[in-house]
Amino acid sequence: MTGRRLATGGTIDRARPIAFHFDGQAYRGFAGDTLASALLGAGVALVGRSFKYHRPRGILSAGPEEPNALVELRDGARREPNTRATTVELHDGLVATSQNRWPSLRHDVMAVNGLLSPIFTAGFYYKTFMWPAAFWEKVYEPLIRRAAGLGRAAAVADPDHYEKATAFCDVLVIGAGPAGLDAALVAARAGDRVILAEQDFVLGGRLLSERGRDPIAELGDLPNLRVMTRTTVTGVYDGGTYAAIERVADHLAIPGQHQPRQRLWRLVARRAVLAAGAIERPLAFGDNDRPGVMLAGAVRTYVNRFGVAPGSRAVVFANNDDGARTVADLHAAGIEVAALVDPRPVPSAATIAAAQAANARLAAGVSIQRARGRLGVRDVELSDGTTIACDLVAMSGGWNPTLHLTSHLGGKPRWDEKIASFVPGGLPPGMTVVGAAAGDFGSGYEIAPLWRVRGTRGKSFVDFQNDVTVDDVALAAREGFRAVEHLKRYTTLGMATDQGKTSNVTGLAIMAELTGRGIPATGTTTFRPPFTPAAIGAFAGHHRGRDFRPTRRTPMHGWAAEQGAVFVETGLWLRAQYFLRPGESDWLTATNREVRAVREAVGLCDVTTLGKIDIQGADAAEFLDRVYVNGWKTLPVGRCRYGLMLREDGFAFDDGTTARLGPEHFLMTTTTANAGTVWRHLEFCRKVLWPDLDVQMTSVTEQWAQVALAGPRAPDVLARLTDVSLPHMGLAETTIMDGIEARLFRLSFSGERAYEIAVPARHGEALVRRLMAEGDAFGITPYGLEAIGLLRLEKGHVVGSELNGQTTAGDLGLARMMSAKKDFIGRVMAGRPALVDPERPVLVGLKPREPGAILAGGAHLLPQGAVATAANDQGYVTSVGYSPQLGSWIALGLLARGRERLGETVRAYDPVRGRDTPVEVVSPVFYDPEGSRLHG
Amino acid sequence: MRLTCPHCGNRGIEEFAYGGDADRRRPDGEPFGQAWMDYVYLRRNPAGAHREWWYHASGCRAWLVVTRDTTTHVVASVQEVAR
Amino acid sequence: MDEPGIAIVTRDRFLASIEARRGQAGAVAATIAAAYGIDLPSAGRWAGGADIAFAWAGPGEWSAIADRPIARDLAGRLAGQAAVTDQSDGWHLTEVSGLRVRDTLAKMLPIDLDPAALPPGAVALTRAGHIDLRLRHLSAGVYELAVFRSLGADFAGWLEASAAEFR
Repeated sequence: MTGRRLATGGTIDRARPIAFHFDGQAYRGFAGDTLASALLGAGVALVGRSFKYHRPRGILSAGPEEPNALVELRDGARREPNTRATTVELHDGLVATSQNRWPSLRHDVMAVNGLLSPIFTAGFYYKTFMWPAAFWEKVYEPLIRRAAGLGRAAAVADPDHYEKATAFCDVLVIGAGPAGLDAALVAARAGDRVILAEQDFVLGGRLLSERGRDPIAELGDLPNLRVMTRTTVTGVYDGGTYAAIERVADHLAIPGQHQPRQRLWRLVARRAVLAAGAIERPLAFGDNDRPGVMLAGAVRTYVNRFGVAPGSRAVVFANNDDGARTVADLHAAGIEVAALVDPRPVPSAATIAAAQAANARLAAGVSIQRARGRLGVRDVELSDGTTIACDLVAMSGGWNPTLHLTSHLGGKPRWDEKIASFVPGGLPPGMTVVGAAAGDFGSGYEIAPLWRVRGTRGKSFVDFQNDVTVDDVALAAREGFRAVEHLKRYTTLGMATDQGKTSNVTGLAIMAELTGRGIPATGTTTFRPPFTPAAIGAFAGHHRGRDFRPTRRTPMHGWAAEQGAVFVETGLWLRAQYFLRPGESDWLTATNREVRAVREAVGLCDVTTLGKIDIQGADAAEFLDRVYVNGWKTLPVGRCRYGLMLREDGFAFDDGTTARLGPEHFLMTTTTANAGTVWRHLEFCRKVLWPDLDVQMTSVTEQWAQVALAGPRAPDVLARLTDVSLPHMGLAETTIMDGIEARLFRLSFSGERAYEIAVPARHGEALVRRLMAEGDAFGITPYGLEAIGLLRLEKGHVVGSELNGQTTAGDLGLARMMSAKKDFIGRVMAGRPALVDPERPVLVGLKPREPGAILAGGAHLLPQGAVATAANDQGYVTSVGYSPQLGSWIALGLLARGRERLGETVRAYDPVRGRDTPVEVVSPVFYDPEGSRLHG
Repeated sequence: MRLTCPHCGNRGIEEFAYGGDADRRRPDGEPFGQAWMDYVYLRRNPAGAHREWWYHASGCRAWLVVTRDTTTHVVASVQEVAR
Repeated sequence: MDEPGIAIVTRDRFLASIEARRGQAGAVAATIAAAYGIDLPSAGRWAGGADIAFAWAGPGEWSAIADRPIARDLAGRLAGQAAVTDQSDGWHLTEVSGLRVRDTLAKMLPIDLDPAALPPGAVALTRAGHIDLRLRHLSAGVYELAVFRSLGADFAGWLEASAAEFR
């Protein structure tokens, strides 16, 4: 095949030549070209190698259905595999490379696969690479991937950025061909908000490809009509939601500054008009994949839209009147048409007239048996025994409405005998289908189905991309893979990047013929989003890397960073895990120092992230009574109380302290991790379960910055800020630091004298700086989450590892908190037999028998001497830490009948880390069990 | 999927949190038994019309009762839980 | 000077949340009208001016946005009628405007920003990605965006990235 640029014609801008590279060679095309049209215009016919047999392939189509001309676009970090040359917009500096060939496109050693083709039949992988199983991952798969492959993804991170966006409209028109343009204009003139989405970079659709049609209808300047070119609607979702990919900068070598490469649109439309046109079917004859064998409609596109002659001597092979149109257009462009081959014994009048006008031989009742020529078609053998020299075969097996989007919500396409194709069946709510997509091919469209040419030699390809032939379909039929979904999986027909846009109907029609079931009974495979391949980056948009999810920072974040904080994510929050001092390099050294400071002097910790909920109303106390296991009506104003919540199924949910600010005013705290879940639970309780209660709730987590001050010198530091003195579990609202509103709490989770000070968030940083300055004389030390965990662990206070959704209040030693005088969430279910079983594992302390032995969370607890089996498992270690005070690793764990086993030795069995450590069962309160430090 | 909140209008599903079967009633005052097990664990999961709670978490924070066809996701009605 | 493509300004205002007690919404409205001369807005609306405004915040709930401390005054007037909490430090407020403001916000918000659907005077409670957000359409093409303070820096970074191509 020797393509060339025609002297005139087309919508390309001949005044704007564009330089590009393909396989390292420099070429020129014009503005308005696709990569495919520019290659054809430059005489390049061989563009790729096929998936399995590495057969030479050219360009089959002129649109997104292209199965052959897949190239790697761009290079380096921007390399993108499997792009369709037929949809790549030509731009200056474009670099493309053919794929799946070695060492070069013309000489591909893997083409030997073609000689081995008898063993590369349908189901080949399943039959050949079955044994031994271990070989699959290590040997077979890499081998197959190398030999039968598509393009290579870039090996480094994508340097470009992507975006997501949302748009709303009354009417979404999908496709800007004749039917879509019409629909958009009618709707826009009627005053509707209209979005017209077109995957091509210009409007017009088939209007651009057919001779004598006005390329672009005048859309005018309608403010309510939004035209989105380079935008493919890829999926239909519930509620009138459509996904579309806008290729904002794919037509540039490098996107402009701040310009995204692609944008994923969520389009919300009251109604949608699908005007996606139709896709032409190839004909299945021998070696129909030779470069130079093209779809007839694509040939017209190259001639009429791009001013390109895809060949110099053509044979047109069609079972419908597309043949006549193609012959006429080729003739008009000065391209010789050697023959019009029409399998219909009596071709239509239009067909006869077209052949006559073009001086082409009309071969009626005849088929092409085989195309010949290895790297490009040289001639064709007809079923009447003649051979015709040609370098271009334009074929048409009829057209399939592009109905994919109609079935994304489950609509089943319906077979239409008249056009021998599937047409839209059930439609998504709000969708209308118009034009060729609805099966409206015009009044002159006549077709005599021809699914395969019989008695051919060579391979008759059905699915060009996956190298599936008529014989493969026949093999699947013989071996019982007759359902369309089985046919697809067994032969790979309709898989990969084109999802069978040119092959599905032919494949299932052949299956229908072979099984005698007929096409309607055979049915089609299911179409799913996306309609064409989409970049994963577009789905991530802004949210990748550090922006994968939002980050919450406390007002003291900058101060903590200055202090050497190493941060850890807790939910969305960043919290200081520990503070590295100069000379310290590991978390344990830092944590030990911080713990010691709290035990011996005073520590300071940012506790802003705890959930804080302001609860008011006449029934506020009643509400708390119902959501917590313990009682609240007796809590005096100005006091705090520790509360435990259960889920309705009886398991422990969350804990924290709640303070009474007034008779009808409480301030609840939740754990950081559960703040959102607890909020939603309380909203359900007050709005759904008990709407009669007078309860108001507001989150004040963000309003208040809160600092914990703990250690024997904590009262001294606090005294520098205020003369308020608080009883244990006391609360005061006051002002500090020259009039800043403050809430003081005397609370302790460390067992030391401790306070929490809350100020409006904007003052949080000033507060910690002031406390650090005032505390300097007392040895004040910032501490982080690791130290908090250890301080709590030493006192046996449960944390997230114990509140793990599988523990009851009883398991945690908190059964006495459960009031018997009132109902509360979880009360009844907490009393069911399984949850009060005395065999349940309960909270215990664990201490290694050998000093220095290290414990780890997750270790199983086994009786001494017992075999390490699930049957002997008696519980597990939940929290561990090194106690600098005790000079030993300590742990909390859940152990069956644990409270009765104090002093006993059990094994902490940790096969993951290869440890088996004898531990003593002790009270969970390791440190100051009398609580003397708290009140001292 | 989209829901038309009676307060905020038509919004995408990402603003809402699912709350399950809205025909469940908490067996207040009943001792432990089948009614409690059903309330906490048993779900009808019908193919067809289903009344269910949704919380407009990123919107007005109303709890809503949505009647939805589980086979088509067609929403027949959205009402605020009686307050 | 030509209107810029996008303008982003951070605002520091005094805020308070108001939630009417059970059955007291009418009384709350009467108190507010008497004290500030503003009719409490219905769903999806705000009312008032730059000195003090009330924005609908859910059924029976409003946010007060003022240029002076407001929570204490409100709490006093609405004692027994509503729960009032100071939220002046809880939110990060941004005002955005410019010719491309809606193109910028369309990258972040999942709601219909068309002035026909969301005119000046409208309030939308929605989300930007995973960040809950309250939007007020202040005047034609000028929007106030409120997100939780802790998310302010993250949100500002995303807003800047979304606006960059319109600068």
